[in-house]
Amino acid sequence: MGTHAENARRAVRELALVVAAGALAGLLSNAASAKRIPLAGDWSRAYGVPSAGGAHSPTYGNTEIGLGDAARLIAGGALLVDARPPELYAEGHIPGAISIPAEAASARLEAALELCEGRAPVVVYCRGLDCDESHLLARALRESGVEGVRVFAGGIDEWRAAGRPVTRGGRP
Amino acid sequence: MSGRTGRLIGRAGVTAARLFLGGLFVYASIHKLQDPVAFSRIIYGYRILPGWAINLMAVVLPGVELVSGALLIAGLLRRGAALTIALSLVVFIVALGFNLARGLDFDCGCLSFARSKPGAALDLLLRDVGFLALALWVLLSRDCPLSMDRLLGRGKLGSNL
Repeated sequence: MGTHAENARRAVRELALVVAAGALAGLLSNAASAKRIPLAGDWSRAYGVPSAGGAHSPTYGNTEIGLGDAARLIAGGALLVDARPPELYAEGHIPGAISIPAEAASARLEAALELCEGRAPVVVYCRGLDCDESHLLARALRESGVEGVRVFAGGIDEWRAAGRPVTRGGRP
Repeated sequence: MSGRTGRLIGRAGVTAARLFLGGLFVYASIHKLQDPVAFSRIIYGYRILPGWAINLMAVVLPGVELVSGALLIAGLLRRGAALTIALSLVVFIVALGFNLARGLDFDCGCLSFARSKPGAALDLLLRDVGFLALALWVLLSRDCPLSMDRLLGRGKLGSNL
């Protein structure tokens, strides 16, 4: 029995060593990373879209709006952009939205810019608070000179949950 | 089959399991270490940790995966590395199972950041249970062939755990 206890103690001691070395490796790797994050993020929903914080966060520099503002801007004729993959757009999108998948944004940015020209404000959305497509696209548009880009942070999830209609299929 | 052949097969098996698990954990750590921003979002998507712990986990977990995987491949601190990996897998299984049970749609982020298919959580959970069995095998096996521990004369210590 003595060996059992001794072995267990030894395994736990080694575990502590492995975890400490691993934590150190993780901290060093993050500090050296081009995509490093601060040790405390900004994940509270109370402050808008949750993110890891820091300049490399997809939300960095974007203007987020809630459902009320989004609905008002859409009703006022803002250009509405669905940044999700085309399959999800076809399954159901906010009425009036065009599809510019964030993944294809670099390839389609020219076309997207043309569409967005003079259409400020532009409202971009994806699934909900967790997805980053709307943020990535909004950032790409902003950096290409499109003004008045806003991210509808709650996305189609919040839109649906509020009982608002969605459109299926259709051309982007 | 003689007992000797059986033992040989067992030793080969546990060595293969050790190298496989170690390689798997090193592989799984790379994309997370390369993109802490993306990995922190994945952890947030699990909706389990409080906000203050998310970034910390996103930074520390891949480091622990890398180090425990590398140590397991080398066969250095084999029991500690196998125990770390086994406990990590238990945590992953609980997290996947918890979200599966409450029907949350989330991305695994385990081996890549590619979107996991809806309903993939059960497959992933079963896969992790298989990995856990391998980790326990490596942890509890008497001997650890082709390892640094053995080279340093620590191989036979701590048998019968």
